[in-house]
Amino acid sequence: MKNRLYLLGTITLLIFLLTSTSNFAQQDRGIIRGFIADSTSGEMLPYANIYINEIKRGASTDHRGYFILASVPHNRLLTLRISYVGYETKNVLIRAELYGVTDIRVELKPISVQLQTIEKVGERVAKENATDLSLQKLAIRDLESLPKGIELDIFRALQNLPGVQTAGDVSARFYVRGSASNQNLVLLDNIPIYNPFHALGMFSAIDPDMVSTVEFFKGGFPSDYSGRLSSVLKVVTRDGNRNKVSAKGSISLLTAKGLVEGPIPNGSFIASFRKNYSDKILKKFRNNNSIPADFYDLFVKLNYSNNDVVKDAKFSVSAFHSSDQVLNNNLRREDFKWSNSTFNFSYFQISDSPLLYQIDIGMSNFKGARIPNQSGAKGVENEVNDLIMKMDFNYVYDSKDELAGGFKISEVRTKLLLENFRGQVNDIGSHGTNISVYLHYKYLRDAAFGAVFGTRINATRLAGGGPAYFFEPRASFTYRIIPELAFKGSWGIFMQDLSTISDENEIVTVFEPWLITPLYLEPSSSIHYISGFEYTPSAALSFTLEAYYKLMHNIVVVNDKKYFHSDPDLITGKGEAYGLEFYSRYLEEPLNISASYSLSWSFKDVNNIRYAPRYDSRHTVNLSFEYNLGLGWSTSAVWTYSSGLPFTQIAGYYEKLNIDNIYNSDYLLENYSPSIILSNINLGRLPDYHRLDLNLSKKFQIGGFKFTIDLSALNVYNRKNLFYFRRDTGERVDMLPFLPSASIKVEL
Amino acid sequence: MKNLAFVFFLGFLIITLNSCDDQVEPKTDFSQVYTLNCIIRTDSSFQVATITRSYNVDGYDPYTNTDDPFIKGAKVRIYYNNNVYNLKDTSIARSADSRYKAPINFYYTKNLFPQHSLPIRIEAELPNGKILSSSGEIISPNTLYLYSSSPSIPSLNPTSRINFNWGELGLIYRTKGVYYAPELAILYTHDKNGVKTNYQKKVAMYYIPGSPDKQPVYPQIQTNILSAGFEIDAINRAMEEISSGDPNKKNYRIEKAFFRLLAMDAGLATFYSAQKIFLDEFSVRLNQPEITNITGGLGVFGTYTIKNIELEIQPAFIESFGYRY
Repeated sequence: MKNRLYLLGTITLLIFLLTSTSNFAQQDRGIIRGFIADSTSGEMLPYANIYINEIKRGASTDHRGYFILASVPHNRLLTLRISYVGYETKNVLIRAELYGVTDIRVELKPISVQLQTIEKVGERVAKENATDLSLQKLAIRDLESLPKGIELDIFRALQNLPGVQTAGDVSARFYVRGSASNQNLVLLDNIPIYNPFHALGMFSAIDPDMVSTVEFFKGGFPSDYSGRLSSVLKVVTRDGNRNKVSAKGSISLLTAKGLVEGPIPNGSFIASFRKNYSDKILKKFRNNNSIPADFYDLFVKLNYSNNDVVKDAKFSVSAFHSSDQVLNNNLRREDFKWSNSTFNFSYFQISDSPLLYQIDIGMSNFKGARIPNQSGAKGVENEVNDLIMKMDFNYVYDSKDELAGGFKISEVRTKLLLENFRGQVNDIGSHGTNISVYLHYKYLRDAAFGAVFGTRINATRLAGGGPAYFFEPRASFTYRIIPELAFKGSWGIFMQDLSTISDENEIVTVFEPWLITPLYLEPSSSIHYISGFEYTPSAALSFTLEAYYKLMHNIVVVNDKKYFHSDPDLITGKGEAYGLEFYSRYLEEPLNISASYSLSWSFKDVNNIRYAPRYDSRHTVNLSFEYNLGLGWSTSAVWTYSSGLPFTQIAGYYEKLNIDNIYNSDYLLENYSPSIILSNINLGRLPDYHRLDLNLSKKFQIGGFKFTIDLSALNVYNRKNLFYFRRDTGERVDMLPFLPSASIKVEL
Repeated sequence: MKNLAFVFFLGFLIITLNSCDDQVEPKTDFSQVYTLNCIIRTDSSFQVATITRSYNVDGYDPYTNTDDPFIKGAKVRIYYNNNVYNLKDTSIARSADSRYKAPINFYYTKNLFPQHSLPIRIEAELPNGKILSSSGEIISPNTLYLYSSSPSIPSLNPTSRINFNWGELGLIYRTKGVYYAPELAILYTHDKNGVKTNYQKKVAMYYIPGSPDKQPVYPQIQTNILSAGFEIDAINRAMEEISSGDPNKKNYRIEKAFFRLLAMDAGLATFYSAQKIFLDEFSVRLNQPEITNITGGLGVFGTYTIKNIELEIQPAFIESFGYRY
């Protein structure tokens, strides 16, 4: 019944809006669209600003460097002011065609290293009615300004954002607004990566040198995205230099890496490779415990666009592979191996009308294994194969409204070999296909009000069977009360049919085995309610305040009360999370300051026991300070504070009866062993976490070589942040101590 | 702008300079918990119960505790078939390697021989007045029946499997079901340099495709299951595995096979299965599930009944594997 109401409501709204756009088509207006690119490399520039002073309107390029300005008066010569951080601002004179589409391509020239300044012209105008609540867009330049620590890491950079929680220095795994980490979707060029971590989860597997942009939805994400309950991290890779062959090499205390890029006929290529060469730094993360981790990752991408072959089209082929192994060389300890592989073919097309669409065909493979050797641990082997075909389109009306939609077919095959303590092995993997379509309408005709509403419809479950379809309706809006102040809101239902079965209370999660949610369980779902204010008193200063409430149903958890073989391995629980996030930023050359604060609560309810999950932190503060000293010098500092995470305390010990052989009548007098009595789950709190990192960076050029040297100091005041204690010995294991670090990058 | 930067850093500098390395307390306040363990068997009139208290230690190694946690002086009563059985308080010497030097305290009765399918209840009043209690149900050995489709292995009839069937005679009201743990085993002797050792080889019901080898499927502890069938292929495989890798087949003497049916009430079945399944299950879970059916504390109270059938293993069948009979 509820599904039918969603369907009826969506269709009614769409019909109303699609028909109401005709009024605007009568007006004498045109459309200006195009790409903004780097003049030296030919690469597209994401999130560049375009502003037309004569009509006081602007736009931003998307992650492809593409922008579109609809409903532009045709009878006037207009000045497009195009700006981008680190580039010279450019003015372009243009006259829009009547009823038609005017295409332009503008190239911006980078500012030299020594003279680098920051311009933000047009940004505020471009965001007037953007429905971007809980969305963080980061170009790689934004990430580079943060303290790099050992080396720049995308996931660790995200942890500076309010609402993003981490389990500490030892894990790049992140938890968003009170949700488990398996509820985050990580996309690399539209293809999911199932375990995007290196070195026991300490670093992300995605080399930032190959990244162009990062879009991070902390919640309320639009219906383009599916399959996860909590957040979406969309990583878009670079295309490579279209004008000349160039190379880059860098070395840090952890890895050495190289990157080559350059032109090919009618296109470009980029290839990167990264490999660790020492575990000395890794040991610092684990109380000087040895971590014999060995990892590498590589990435290759080819792009092709030729108007003589297919007009206004772009073809891309990309492949990514990461591999990790932890080999202890000790039969009494378990070993680990895991890898990720993705492949994607992408076809992007702009039509003569204001329509664009993209087709992606790709696959993602994850393999992971825990090899017990003679450690007594259980063996686990997991494999996920995900074949994906998707199509997305976007149409811009003369009214400035947009209609977007698409479909996705995902065939997932999982293998999960579990070994019991008797050495028997069983495969509990399965396979299935998810088919879904989505449609959403963007109401953008009003400069002060913008809204997006639509739905995704899942026609099948991955496990097969079940009800015929599942609706995921979503809506968001922005209302600009005064030019400086906007009120935003978002609501949506999200579904997840794939989960991990690892124990979230494990101290170190090497990899989380994935499994299709079995048919005897309902798919997991969540509802997000988000609202907030954005206040921008000046172009340099901005404040945002967001409140969220999230309900999660049917979260898949391991059945801790499995007493009989007939009992299910997995059961479901509920979750609830709510909180308040504050973020402010002051960005005025040469200073860049940001401050954020989160107040959050998170709960899980399993078997009618309500408790705070391991990643529930009440208060989180992040302060970031960056100063451009000029002449290639820059410095930054980041201070992070997080109130203590929950843990379960020991309440005592007792003698537990062991019935090894029930036929032997003496066990009641003989077979006892000490067992821990635990207090109520996660009632204890670890000490607060805080840390200060400093960074000094210098860019300079010698001949044709550009050098970047980074000097970092992590945990400057050597705070002893607790990682965990051992219940059997009470030993305290701390996280990262004071650690100086350096890296050097050379670009040709 | 300098003022802003100053204010910006002032906050965390204050916290930083005042921060110390907080201590964590892995233990919460200790509160006493008591454990009652009693498993009633229907093949004996001698029944035993133990009561222990929880304890704390300096540090985190419970094996450093030498203060005997087994409690004496409690009043333990069992209520069954309109009778009350008062268990006596006694003790017995421990093994030499025990960390507790005093004799182990326990409670017993020699007069409880439960033969009727009736409810049974235990109550223990501790010296400090605390009450531990639990209830169970007796499975009468007189009404529990068991038979096999063949008196010997292999089966005399042309079917390829041997079936065992069981159930309870009469109409018995129970609040919870009876749980059955069936098991077929082959008894054999291995002669190694003149030293003979007795062994049991458990037989799977059948094998399923697996990676890399076929996987055995053994009978599980289940309720509402009243039969178990063992395929001849699984029996053959068990016979082969008895001497797996050993070319000296004649060192093995096959004695007989027996089928054993363990019938348990829900309380014992849950506790017992939770321990067994931890070893058998295919799960990433690392901790044994904690379970108790004792009101007011920890531990287990349950009952069980055992039925056996012995099966002859035919000499020709034994010889076909190269063993002696």
